[in-house]
Amino acid sequence: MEKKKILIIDDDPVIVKYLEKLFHDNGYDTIFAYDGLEADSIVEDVIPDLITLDIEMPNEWGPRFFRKLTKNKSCKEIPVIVISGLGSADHSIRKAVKFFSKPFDSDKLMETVNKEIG
Amino acid sequence: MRTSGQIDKILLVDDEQDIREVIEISLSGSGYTVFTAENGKQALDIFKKEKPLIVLTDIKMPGMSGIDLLRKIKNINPDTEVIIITGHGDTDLAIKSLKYEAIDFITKPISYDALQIALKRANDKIITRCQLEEYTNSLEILLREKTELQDHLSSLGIMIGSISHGIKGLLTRLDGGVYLMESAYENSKFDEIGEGLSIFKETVNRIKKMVLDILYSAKERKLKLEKINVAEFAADVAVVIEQKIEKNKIEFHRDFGSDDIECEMDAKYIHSALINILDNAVDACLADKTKSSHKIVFKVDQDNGNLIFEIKDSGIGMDLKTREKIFNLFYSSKGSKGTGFGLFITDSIIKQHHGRINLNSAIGKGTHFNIKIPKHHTKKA
Repeated sequence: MEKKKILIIDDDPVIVKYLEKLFHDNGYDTIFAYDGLEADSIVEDVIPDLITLDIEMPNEWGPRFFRKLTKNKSCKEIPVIVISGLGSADHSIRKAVKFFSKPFDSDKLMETVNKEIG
Repeated sequence: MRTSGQIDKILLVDDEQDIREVIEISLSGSGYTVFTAENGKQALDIFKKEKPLIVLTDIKMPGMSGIDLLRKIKNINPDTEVIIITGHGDTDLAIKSLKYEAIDFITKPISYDALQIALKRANDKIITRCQLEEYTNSLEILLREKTELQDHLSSLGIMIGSISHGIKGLLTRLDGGVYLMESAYENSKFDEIGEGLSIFKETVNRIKKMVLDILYSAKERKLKLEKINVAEFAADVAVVIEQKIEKNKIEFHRDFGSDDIECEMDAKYIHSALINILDNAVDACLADKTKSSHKIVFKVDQDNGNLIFEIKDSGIGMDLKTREKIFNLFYSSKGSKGTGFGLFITDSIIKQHHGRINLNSAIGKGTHFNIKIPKHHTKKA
């Protein structure tokens, strides 16, 4: 069976690398984008099974990307997990599957991912 | 208590000498310093000179009437309380005087009690007004303090928010470094351990720098001005950044001018101000992948009593929006790489030295910082 694909959106390359490794170790495939703009062009070609999103990013801002994503027919069913350094979930991100504050507990994150698409 | 005149001074105006004498004795006995005048003109002269807070005046006088005097006095100082002395049958005039804000009127022949009651009324009003004035003043001070406190709190809030945001990101990186190391170790991929370790080390260095920046911005200490040999100083600055520049294969051009330029400055502060800019210059070069090679120029010059540092890079450059915000606290054009402290601190340091930073930058063309500080500080910085 083909591996499920997770799109990681975070402007910090180290955190992208961390999440990539974590998801690979748990049997998932990954693609990544450093901001919402990059993520926009990725979802035009590939529909990921799940997205992790940092809300604080340069260029295309997290919440706006999220809003656009949920309006896009082919993407609106994709579960989105917000992982952010901000204290609480932004209002426009209320529809996200779950909100993790940085630094996050990797076991709990995997629990949520497995529950959604495992 | 703050008053615009003296509460124990009374000006007594009457054209009849015996009346003046009798009242003067009575008032002096009550502890007032009494000034007397026999007509309105004389009264105004004394009023302007002595600034009494209470005026006692006859209503019918040759020349200027008591009502006219009342109006003139109220015009000069509306806080003056005027008691009108009226004769029998002057009721209309007495009422008119109340219209012009006399505090009270007493009728001739003047009884001691009536005079005391009128004076008490005048004094009570003066005291109430003074208290009110004082309350208003304290209220204004309180309001101002409250606003200042609010400003402090909100910038403190912004600061704490931004710091905690930065720290959370850095902690996540540490987690990442540890995870990579652990995972590599468990799978016996020893070559991958190094990757985790270098992320770890780099993040720890970043935390150190962030802590130092916070300490600098938290307390603006007084400058320790010393006479510094500029060429030596600039060389010391260059040494610190050299390694990073060379490691990234950027050409580094130095020009420190003549050996004998001296400048009064806080070397430690100017050092960190320049390092912040040079650090940014390297990052700007690294961010620009369009050019095959990059160059950073660090130059020292002088003109008309000023020392000039110039730092030029061939990096990505900034657009107008970024240029405008670049010195703001917590603004960073470097995304997760920046803390938003560096140039804010640089700007405050140069301002503390009574200097100025000029900035030229355009996308793709690089950035040119021109930092000018006076060589001598005659006054305290």
